[in-house]
This record gives sequence, C-alpha cells and structure tokens, in this order.
Amino acid sequence: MSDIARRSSRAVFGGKRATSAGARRRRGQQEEGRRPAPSQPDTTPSTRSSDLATLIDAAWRFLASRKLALALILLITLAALFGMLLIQVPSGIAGDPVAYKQWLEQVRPKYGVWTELFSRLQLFMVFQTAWFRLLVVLLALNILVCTAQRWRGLWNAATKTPGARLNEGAFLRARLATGFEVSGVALEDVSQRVESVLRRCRFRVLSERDSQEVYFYADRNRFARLATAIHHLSIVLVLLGAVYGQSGGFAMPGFMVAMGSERPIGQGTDLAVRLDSFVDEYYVAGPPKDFRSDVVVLEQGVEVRRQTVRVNSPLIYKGVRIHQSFFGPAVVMRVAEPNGRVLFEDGIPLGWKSQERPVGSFVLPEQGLEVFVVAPASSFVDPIIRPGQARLEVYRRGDNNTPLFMSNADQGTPLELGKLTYTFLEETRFSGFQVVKDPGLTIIWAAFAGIVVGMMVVLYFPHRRLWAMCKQKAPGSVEVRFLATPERAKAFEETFSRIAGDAEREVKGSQERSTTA
Amino acid sequence: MEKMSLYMFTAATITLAMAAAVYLLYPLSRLSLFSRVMSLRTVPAGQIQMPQNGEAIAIYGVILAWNALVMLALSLMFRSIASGRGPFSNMYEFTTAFVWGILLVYLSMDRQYKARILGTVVIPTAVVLLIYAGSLPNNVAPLVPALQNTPLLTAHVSVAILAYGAFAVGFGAALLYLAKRAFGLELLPSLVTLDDIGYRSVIIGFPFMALVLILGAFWANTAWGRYWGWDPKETASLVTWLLYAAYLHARTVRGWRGTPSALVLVLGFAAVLVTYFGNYFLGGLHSYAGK
Repeated sequence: MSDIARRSSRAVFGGKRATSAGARRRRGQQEEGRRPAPSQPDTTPSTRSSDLATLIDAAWRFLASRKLALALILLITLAALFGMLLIQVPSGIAGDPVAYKQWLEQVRPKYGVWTELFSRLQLFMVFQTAWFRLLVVLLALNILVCTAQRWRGLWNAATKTPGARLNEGAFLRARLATGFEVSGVALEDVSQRVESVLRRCRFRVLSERDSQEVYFYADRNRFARLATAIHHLSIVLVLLGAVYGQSGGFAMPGFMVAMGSERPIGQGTDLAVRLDSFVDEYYVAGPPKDFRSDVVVLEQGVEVRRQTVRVNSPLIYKGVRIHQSFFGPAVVMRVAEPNGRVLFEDGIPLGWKSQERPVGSFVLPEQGLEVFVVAPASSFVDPIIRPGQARLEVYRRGDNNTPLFMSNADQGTPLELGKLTYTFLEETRFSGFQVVKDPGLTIIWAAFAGIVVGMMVVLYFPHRRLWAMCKQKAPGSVEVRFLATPERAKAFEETFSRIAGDAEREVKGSQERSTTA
Repeated sequence: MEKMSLYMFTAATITLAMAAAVYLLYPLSRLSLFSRVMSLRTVPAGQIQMPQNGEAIAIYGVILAWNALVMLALSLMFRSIASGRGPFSNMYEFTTAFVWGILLVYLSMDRQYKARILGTVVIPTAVVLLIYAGSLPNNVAPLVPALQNTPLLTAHVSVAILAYGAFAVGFGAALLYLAKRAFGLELLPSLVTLDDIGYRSVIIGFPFMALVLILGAFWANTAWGRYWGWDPKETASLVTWLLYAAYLHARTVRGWRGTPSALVLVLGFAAVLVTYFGNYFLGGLHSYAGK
C-alpha cells in the first residue's frame, strides 16, 4: 500500500478523534512512515519533571473538555431557571443589608417558609452572586481553551488535502459506499462525466490518473468548519463587551426631570437635560398610545441637541442615550428667605410612592435641609392632603426620622416654616428617563453577529468529502465506485446517493447515445 | 377583512382537528390486527384495495395539514391587512402564527423523511394550541408605545415562530425516540431516523432562537435603554437557548448520546412553552403582550 493511499485510508477510516498526548504522539509517528509503537498506557512523558507543568497540563485538559462545557451550560441553565422563577432583588438593594431585609419582608408573603432558604442560597440575587460569575468565567475559559485545542484539527481538515488514490478494498469496506458498472463508454468519458456531476454539486475536485484508473477526491465547504471558532469566540466577546460596557459606562434608570426644569446628568459628562414638555396620549379604549417628551440636551450650558423622545426613539448624543421610561406628577416649589432672596425655584418630580401618595424631595444645601413634598393620593379620597394641596415635610439633611416641620401648603399660598417661606406654585408633570452610556455596544453587536453567522455557516454549510474511482475493468467495461466518510447527519447519505445516482444516469445516458450513434 | 380572518381561522382549526383525528387513527391502522381485519372484508372487483400497512390513511392527514397551513396563512394575511401590521402583537395572533410555524416545519420535514408517525405527536399538539388561540380575545387592538417598532416587532416575533415551530417538531421526534426506546414499537421509524429528525429540527431552530435573543436585545436597547436586564422572559428564552446548546453538545459527549439527548430535547420544549406562556405568570417587562 503506497504511503499516500495509507494516509488517505487513515483520513477515511481514522475514526475516533484522539486528543490525548499519547495518541497524538502515535499518530505523529505513523505520519512519518515509522511503524506505530506498541500500545502504551497514556502516561505523562518523562521529559516533564516539574509539578507545576503537570498541574497546568491537568488544568488545560480539564478546561478543554466537552463534558465541562455540558456541565457548565446545564449549571448556568439551572441558575437562570431560579433567576426567572423567583423574584430577583433589584441591583441597588442587593448591596445594602438594611434595604435587602426590607425587600425580603416584602416578598415573604409570596414564598412563605421557603423565603429563608432561598435567601440563604442567594437565589433572590442569582445573577449578582460570585458563584454565578464564576460559572460564567469558567465557561469563557472553557470556550477559549477548547477552541485553541480544536483549532489545529479544524485548520488541518480545512487545508490539508488527502490524496485521491485509495485502494479498492476501501471502496468496498466503507460504510457509505456505492458504485455501478457501465460498458461501451471510454474511461475518459466516464471520468469526465463523474467530474462534471461533482462540480455541479459545488464540490472542489482533485484527481490522480493512471492508464487504467482515475481517482477523484472531492470536497466542499471545507473552510466552513472554521466558523465554529468565530461563533464560540464571539460568545466570549459578548461577555467581554458586557464587562467593558459596565465598567466604562453608566446607567441611570430613574432620571426624572420636571417640565420646564433642567437637570445635569453628571457621571463625568458636561451634559444637562431640560424637559420642555411631556405628553401622554391614550387610545379611546384606554391603553396608552404614546409618550412624548420634548427634550433639550445642553453641553456646558449650550443647547446641542433637541428631540422628541419616545419609547422607541431615544435621544443619542456623544454615546449618551436618553430613553423614555416612565412619568408622573411633579410640583413647582419656590423657597425664599425673609428678605425675598429666592433660594430655590424649580419643578420637583414626585417619583416615589409612600402609602400610595406620590413623593418627591429637594435639598437646600446652604441651610442643610431636605424637604419632602407629598401630593394627595389618586387611588382613594385622601383624608390628610386635599386636592390642590401639597404636604411639606422639612428635615435636617441626613436625619430623616425627626421632621422639623410638617404642614400642608395650598397652591399659590406662601407658607412660613421656620425662617423660610415655601410656596407651592403649580402642579405639573415629570418625565422619567433611562440615561445610559455603554461603550461596549459596538463590541456587543459585532459579537452577536459573529454568534449567529458563525453558527449558520457551520450548521448550514457542512463540510462534505467523498472519493470516487473509475477503473477500466475489462476492455469496454468501466467500474465506477464512490465512498464517503460517514458524517453524523443522515442528510449526507441522501446527497451522496443522489450524486452517485446522477453520475450513473449521466454516464449511462452517454452510453445510450454512443450505442445509438 | 377581520371577519374573513376569523372564518379562515375557524376553517383551519376544523381542518387541523380532522388531520389530528387521522393521525391518531394512523398508528391503529398500522397494527397488524387492524389491517388483517380490514383485509377480511371482501372488496368488489374494480374497487381500489387499501394497502395493508395503512399508509393511505396517513396521506389524508398530510393533505389536511397542508390545507390547514394554507388556511392559517390566509387567516394571518387577512388579519395583517385588517390591522395594518404584522400579526404579532397579542397572544391570539402569536399563537396562530406559532401553529403555522409548526405546520411549516413539520410538513417540510415530512417531505424529506416521510416519517408520518411524527404527525401523531405534532399535529394534535398544534390543534390544542389552535383551540387555545381560539379561546383568546382576538379583537384587533392598537399597539402600546413599547411595541410601536414595526421592523423589530416583525423580525423578533417571526424568527421566534420559526424557532418554536422547529423545536415543536424536534419535541415530537424526541418523544417518539423515547417511546421507541421504552416500548420498541415496530411502527415507529428507526432510532437513527428519529434522532436525525430531532437533530435537524434543532439545527433549524437553534440559530433562529439565537436571533430571537439578539433581536430582542437590540430592541430592548432601543426601547428600554439596555440590551439585557435578566427580565424573566428574557431569562426564560436564554434558558431555552441554553438547553438546546446543551443538546448539541450532549450529542458529542460519550454517555449522553441517545436517550439523555432526547430527554434534553423534551426539556427544551418545556422551556419553550414556559417562555411562550411566560407573559402570564413571569411578570416583568414583557407582560403586556399577554393581554
């Protein structure tokens, strides 16, 4: 058996993918033409003496295993299952033990006796726990190591071309094999027709010829396999993009601006948002139709962008995005000193709810005061605050337990509390935005594209290869044989049979033509 | 136009119910006792003989299913014309489209594999879903602000339909695989064929499911300002995608081929259903679509 034929046979019958070092060594020796070493236990080669190298090797093999991938995927799935079936604590609250306890009490009625257990297992904050992050990091490492490990094999399969010549036994032994005989057609004719059928099926065809035999090796989509690396590396890229976006950006989900007010974004930008108007529109039947905020963005006090922000049309300026999120009532307050100097005059969004009453607050920094403003409840007739009134509660900043003053203010009527005059000027609205900056977005979209495109290329353009042989048997009679490597999907069996059938039809068609000619 | 859509829907439901009846009778007709009984009847000369293995019954099921597919397509089309947008914005529309997707994938698989017995699982499932859709409120309601993004609404929901339809067929194949493993019924196709149908369904469905997640993320980024927030329905669709990823990896791991992989396929479809009906009980930002 010639060297080429033996190598080709191994390509056909190579069988199990051997990944251990010992098997790789054995294959390497065979490819050099030496006889294979007798079967040895797969022990660590004696050239590596340090324990560290053994450890790294073991770690590498652990991270390269597909079983690990399966285990990690299932574990992450299980974690996500809890994350979607149990109410998850919002990220701001999770870090604050006091707030967390309060939140826990809120959900206790729903989970009853299970609450303590779930809390202990951190199941109310699955995606923020260290162990979940560890699973994700392990998966990323697993993907990287696996891809690195597979790359050589993928590259070789894509670039190395097996020889076309195989011995006859191979054509009879292979699992996917078929053939036919034809008489009255010349060998050249037969081989030309077979080749043309293969080319028509988008195969790359290589041939080796003898006087009595023509051998073909045909394959297609040989580079498609490499797309699996793109797909898997893109998954890691998504994770990296997410980390980058979080660390290099910011997200402010409850950015409220009262109508007519201007509010700086902060976060290292020089930007401020002014709300010129807000409109909420409803369908006749009741459901909301549209939420529109006329927003002006100012940079260092200068207007740089003006847009009507709606739910599906955010305002984007220099990477900062302003999304319409929610809305609510607001009040305009003025606070003045006895001498008439106005300390504060602005709209205050009443963005929180306390006992079903809208609440907002503002700060008087010079006086060290924090003022809470409460509007009457809308869902019941409020016994404490009448329509047209706003309740003011004045506290010393930092001490929200003992109010200095508490009183209802009538619209338009100044109210003296302590040494300052508070005037509830008007009721208005506020628009709530999600203001975000995510520098990782471009990476994320590119990675998403990589995931989908990589997947589709691998799955929809599978690498197929087959061998064919045309042999002059007796004068006037040519035998044609096909064989293919058994692919996992049955689909290739049908393509394979179809190609062989087409070839047979073409060749026999020309046979008829030559006999009738 | 809206009425035409409902008439077509009713017609499709009836047709598909008949198809389901045929498919449920089909295994019975394959049983040798039944065909022996049938062959005892004397057939007058000149009349067509019934093939003894009962395949003829199955073809009626396929024809009825094709009819239902066309009727559903018309129903969806009329509805789109009536509402001025794709039929994707409430559970009635979406379920109808889902069943259409199931039928589309099933009938394409049927052309290739001709494993008619698959219909015994898939078609009754489709009928149940269609009857469920019929019980839902189906007035054409205008879209709330969050859904007012026609290209993304169309794209995100269309790929979901195709993905779920493919996964439903894979579920059918997996159930039959497990049944064959457990009971070794002759009338079921070979384990290799069933495994292959399952695999084929997943390689259709899996990239589309990835697209569902990605288009959803892109839309969420436009509407809500973040592409991922562990919203219950987002997480549920991720769980679904991960289970099918697990299936694809499990097929190549020793010890996980065959029955364990089929079980993962069944779990995957359970996840599809949870994701699909998640509007109703998961809460979160997606809950409006259920009303």
